[in-house]
Parts: sequence; C-alpha cells; structure tokens
Amino acid sequence: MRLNGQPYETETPRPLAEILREAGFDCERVAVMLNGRIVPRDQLDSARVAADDELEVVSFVGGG
Amino acid sequence: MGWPPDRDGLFSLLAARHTPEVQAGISAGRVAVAGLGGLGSHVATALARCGVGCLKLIDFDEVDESNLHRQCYFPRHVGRPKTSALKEMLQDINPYIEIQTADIRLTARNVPDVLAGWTVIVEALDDAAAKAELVTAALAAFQQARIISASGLAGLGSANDIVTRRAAGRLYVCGDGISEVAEGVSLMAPRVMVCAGHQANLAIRLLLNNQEP
Repeated sequence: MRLNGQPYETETPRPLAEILREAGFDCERVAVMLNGRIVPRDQLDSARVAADDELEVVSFVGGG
Repeated sequence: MGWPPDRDGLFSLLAARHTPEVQAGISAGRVAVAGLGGLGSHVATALARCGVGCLKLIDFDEVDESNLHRQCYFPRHVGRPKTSALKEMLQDINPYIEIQTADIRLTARNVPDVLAGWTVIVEALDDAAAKAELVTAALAAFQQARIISASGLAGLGSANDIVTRRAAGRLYVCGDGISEVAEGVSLMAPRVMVCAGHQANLAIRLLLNNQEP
C-alpha cells in the first residue's frame, strides 16, 4: 500500500485507524481518502486497508 | 459617477478591470465561506470585491476586541454577530451580490443541510478537529463540491512557505501545513492574509473552471 504517495510497509489487510495511529496521525485531525474516496469519520475504525490501496491523509493544524 | 452605480454600472466597472468574460464567470459564481475569522473574513472580502454573485457566510460567533489584530472587522463591530457585521461591509462594497448568512456552528450532522448546493466551499475554521470534521463531512455529503481548506498559517515564518496544494481530486489545502497556533505562536495579520489570498485566488480559479492549484 501507499501513504501520501510513498510506499508504506505493513501487513494487509489491516484496520485503517491502526495504520493512521502507527504513522503518527491524530485520528481527530485528519481527512482520509482511501483510493480517492473520503472515509467518513465513523468508518475510520471499521475500514480496512488492502495491499494495493492508496491512502491520502491530510492532517490539519489549528489556526484560522 | 456617484456610489453606488446601478447594477449594470458596477458590473461594467468590474468587467473593465477583469475583462467581461472573466467577470461573467465570477458574477455567476457562488461560494460558501465556513468560518468568518482571520481567514474567512478576508476571503469573503476578496470575493465580494471581485463581484462573486452569491456568497454564504457561516459563523456562530460575535466580533471580539481580540479579533481586530487580524480579522477584517472594525471596532464598531465588536459585540455584533460576525455574519451580520461582515454582510454589512460586503454589501457596502457591492450592493448587488447576494449574501446569505447562517449563524451556526458547523458539524458533521448539519453540513449536509447548511452547505447543500454549494460547489465551492472555503473551510476557514480555527480548530484543527473542526477542520477535519467539516472537510470530511463535506466531501462525503457532496459529490460535486470542491473544498478549499487551510492548515498551517500561524507565526512569522516566511510567507513563501504558504502554498496551495491539491490533496485529492476535490480537496485543496492552503497553508504551510505545519505552523499551528501555540503558546508564543500567534496568528498574525500578514501571514493570515497571505493564506486567505491563496484560498480566495483558488476560489476564483475554480469558478472560472480552472482546477489547478
């Protein structure tokens, strides 16, 4: 699988939220696209990432 | 000429500067601005000056003294809802654009109602979790909407680090991605306005069917 354009070493399938936490993301502060589709907040735990999947994670910081 | 000119007169004024073709696209455009603080107030102002045909201004908050160092309100607005204070200023700039307002705190639950029908949405919130929630909810609810969000604009780092990037097909992010508000690191007017300029610039480009950041 790939994370933000880079190969990401991990066993698959694997829960999405687990990968996010392992990669250092705060699940409360991200917008996640799995193969180009946004993952709703309540599906972060149940979604599973497969070997060929592309993950795009935008991590937000405060201020505006 | 006296101010304001009539509707056609103001359109001509803008068209003379932007070209009639560009102005036609802008005047037919509609943009929702979620959050009317440092980013949102400046984004909305820029869009109003361009003559965007319809704006929706969304914020639950009132203008506070502590806002004046970076938001485009004036002392006379302190204590007033941001929506009405900003609408008043924008209608002064252009009496003929339509301005809708919503005094509401956006959440994942109300996004499908509040932002229904808006295909260019500017995320100008302050809180990181709220940003994530709004962006996620809007992308999920609306297959046609393009979201222009912001992340990382605090402090006095180089303005050259503020960029617009396309994070996904319908999601753009303006900012440096890392400079968050923290103890000793405040939002400051110049950098905030640079980021707001990025958001407003992209909004106009999207209205004119240019999807490149």
